[in-house]
Amino acid sequence: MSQEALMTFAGYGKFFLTLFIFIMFYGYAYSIYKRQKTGERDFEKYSNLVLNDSLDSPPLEPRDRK
Amino acid sequence: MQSNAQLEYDYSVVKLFTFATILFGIIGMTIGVIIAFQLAFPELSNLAGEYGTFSRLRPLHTNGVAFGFTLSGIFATWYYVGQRTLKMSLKESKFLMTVAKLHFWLYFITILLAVVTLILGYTTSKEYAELEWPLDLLVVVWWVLWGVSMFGMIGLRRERAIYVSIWYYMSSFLAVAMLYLFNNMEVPTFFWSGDAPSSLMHSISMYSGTNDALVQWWYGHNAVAFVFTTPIIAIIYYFLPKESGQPIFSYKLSVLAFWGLMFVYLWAGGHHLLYSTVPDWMQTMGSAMSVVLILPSWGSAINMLLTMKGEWQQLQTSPLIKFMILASTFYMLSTIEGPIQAIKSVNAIAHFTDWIPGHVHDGTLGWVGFMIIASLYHMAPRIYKRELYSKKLMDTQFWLQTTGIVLYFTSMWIAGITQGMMWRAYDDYGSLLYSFIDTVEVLHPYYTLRGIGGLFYLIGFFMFAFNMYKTATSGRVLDKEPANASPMA
Repeated sequence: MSQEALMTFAGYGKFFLTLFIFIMFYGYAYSIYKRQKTGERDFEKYSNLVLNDSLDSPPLEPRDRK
Repeated sequence: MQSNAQLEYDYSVVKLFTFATILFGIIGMTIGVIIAFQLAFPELSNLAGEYGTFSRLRPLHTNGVAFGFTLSGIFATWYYVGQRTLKMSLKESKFLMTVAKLHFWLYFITILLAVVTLILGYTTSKEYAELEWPLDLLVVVWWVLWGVSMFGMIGLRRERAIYVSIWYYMSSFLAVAMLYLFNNMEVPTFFWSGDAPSSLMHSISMYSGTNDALVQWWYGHNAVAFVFTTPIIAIIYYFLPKESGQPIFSYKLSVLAFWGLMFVYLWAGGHHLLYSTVPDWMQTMGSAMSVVLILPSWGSAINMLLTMKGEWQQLQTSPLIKFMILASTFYMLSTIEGPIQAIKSVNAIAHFTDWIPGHVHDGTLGWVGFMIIASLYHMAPRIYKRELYSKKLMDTQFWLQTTGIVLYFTSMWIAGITQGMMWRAYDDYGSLLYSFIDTVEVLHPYYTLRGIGGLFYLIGFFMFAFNMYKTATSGRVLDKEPANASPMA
């Protein structure tokens, strides 16, 4: 493959990769807002991870440590 | 495993890194002020022979503030934020505690060696990657130790959900590991030079020409991304909500801005190589990605400003909130300025001019510096269990440093654009109107102003160091940990 062909190939490759990432990203954004709206998951509660961060306060979502 | 009731967070490593942040801040910023005045008054370059020249001191300044001051601040906050949001204590694991301490000491020794070797003139000559190969190997060791402690702490957490700040710290760890390894691929010439004389400390890059430039700026720009941006966002996402007692305006936006930043940042480095020999599409991509970067950057910054919704009176009463809100504002300023400079036609004027260090410094002094200072102030009453020594001093520091930053970037804006326009000016016959020395003469007052701005910031930093020292040694002892606003006398 010539240098020029390789560069062109890389350029198109980058374009389609960007397009793919664009679709993935906006798909993810839509899913987050949909899940929040339907009540499937409350993302906003995670702010409390900072506000209640003393070792005595109960975890927001406890994890079994075995 | 101990029960929660007996446990408390361990801040011994936080304290060590806090000390390093202040020490390397003083060294790096003092040298910065010296070289700023050297540019205005070149005779200052001759004060200490070869060891005092601009070319020796400049890498010492950049490495000192980026890898000394900033990284120490990042590590200090990591061991604080990490334990608290994961709800685990380093006291629970002897192994992790040993790793964390080893992380600190190896890091500290490396940065001290960096100071010595750079001043002796050992350098790879790659910007922000000047450290020679033996030091690079040391960096790899403590970076891996940081990773072990990070993922070890995550593995021991009580809290299943991982807070967004931790995501940002993780991205910083992973990205810098990749960038550092690839950009510092080098051949120590001593072992392969045969009979030709070669220093044990010398190496050459494994890449050459355009490839070297591409890898270098893929690294260089992402050092800005993953040392000056993502970990500092991690810091603000913890310390602003905590100090103000307000939940983040939108947690969803913080997550989206995270992924946006991850997707886009790694492609933006090409804007350092506009009008060079790298393929044209890469230059265009570098410009385009830089402009797109405005979205995730402003996503985080606006999210922080809106976190203060309904609580703006705190800006009047708390110097700590002032530091953080102004930091967020400077983040917005530098992330709109950077993309503007990355546009090809603007870059034709901006490239190689003083507008570039102007841009870098409104980001580093305003955003990075202020956030690290604010986070250390917030941590101090919790780690030393004492009230902050002086609110008045903190306020004075804030205004002095803010004035310093404004002097710095406005003088560099004017200097840079003047310089860019003069370099390009030509007469009816196509001859250049000015020689290089003409621009130097015009720029002298702005260089002096920049030095004064830097000096203001440095004096403010000494006030900060004094305030922290007095807090740790003679602040009023607190009987319980403050929940939100940091107590100050």
